[in-house]
Amino acid sequence: MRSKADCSRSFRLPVPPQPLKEHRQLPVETIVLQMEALLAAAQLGPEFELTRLTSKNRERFRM
Amino acid sequence: MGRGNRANQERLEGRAPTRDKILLMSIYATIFEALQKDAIPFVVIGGHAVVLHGYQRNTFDLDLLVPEGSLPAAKSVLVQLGYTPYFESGAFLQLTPCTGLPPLDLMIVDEITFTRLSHFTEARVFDGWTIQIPDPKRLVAMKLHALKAVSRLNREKDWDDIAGVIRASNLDIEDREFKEIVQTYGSPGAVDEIKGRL
Repeated sequence: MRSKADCSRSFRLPVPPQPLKEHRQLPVETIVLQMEALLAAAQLGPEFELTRLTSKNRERFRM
Repeated sequence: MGRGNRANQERLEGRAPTRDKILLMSIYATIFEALQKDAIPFVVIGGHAVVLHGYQRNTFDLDLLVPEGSLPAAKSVLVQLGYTPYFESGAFLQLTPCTGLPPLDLMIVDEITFTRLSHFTEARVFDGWTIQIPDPKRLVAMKLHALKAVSRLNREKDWDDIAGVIRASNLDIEDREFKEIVQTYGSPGAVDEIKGRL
């Protein structure tokens, strides 16, 4: 089953990966769209929802 | 109104921030600022804490540890930021964000646990904001605790995180306190599992 991070990665817009030093050269609108897509992907998909729920279904941590 | 608040207001109104504001926009700092402004104590845990200890791995959503006495105030602040409660149990409050903010999970602990853990935290700068994370041993304890849950799905990632934090922090697995932590919070095979991954 895919992890949350996998879900996010698979939902990226079709923009080729950019080296970090060139990232600032991307149009601001593209960067925003990428962020929006990642955020949307993080919330969508039954696998993500299942992972998110079951991973938190446990007792309190105590020290 | 500060930069983060302006950007957040625009998110709530569904307006696209202008170029100069986009470059100043901080995703996580918006949350830290709002909580600290209302004096709500929190510790950054989960994947971001792992990364801040030096083990680089992909993570996006934000996990915060909060004392249960501060939960109502934290919930109120986060709802004002545009978050919607998604799932709540005695141990967790999970929130779904409005556009532009990360999914957020609050791990709820009793006051004694929060106070004790606060003695074992380290400061880090995250998204331009100074926050606290658990020290490596306490972070490993939390990961071992999570692994004990039978419903846990991301076991491999948890074990990778544990090994990654141990290596990045140069933790001595023969250290007495570390052994006690593994015995207290880990399952019976935890020691061998850790040794096998280092």
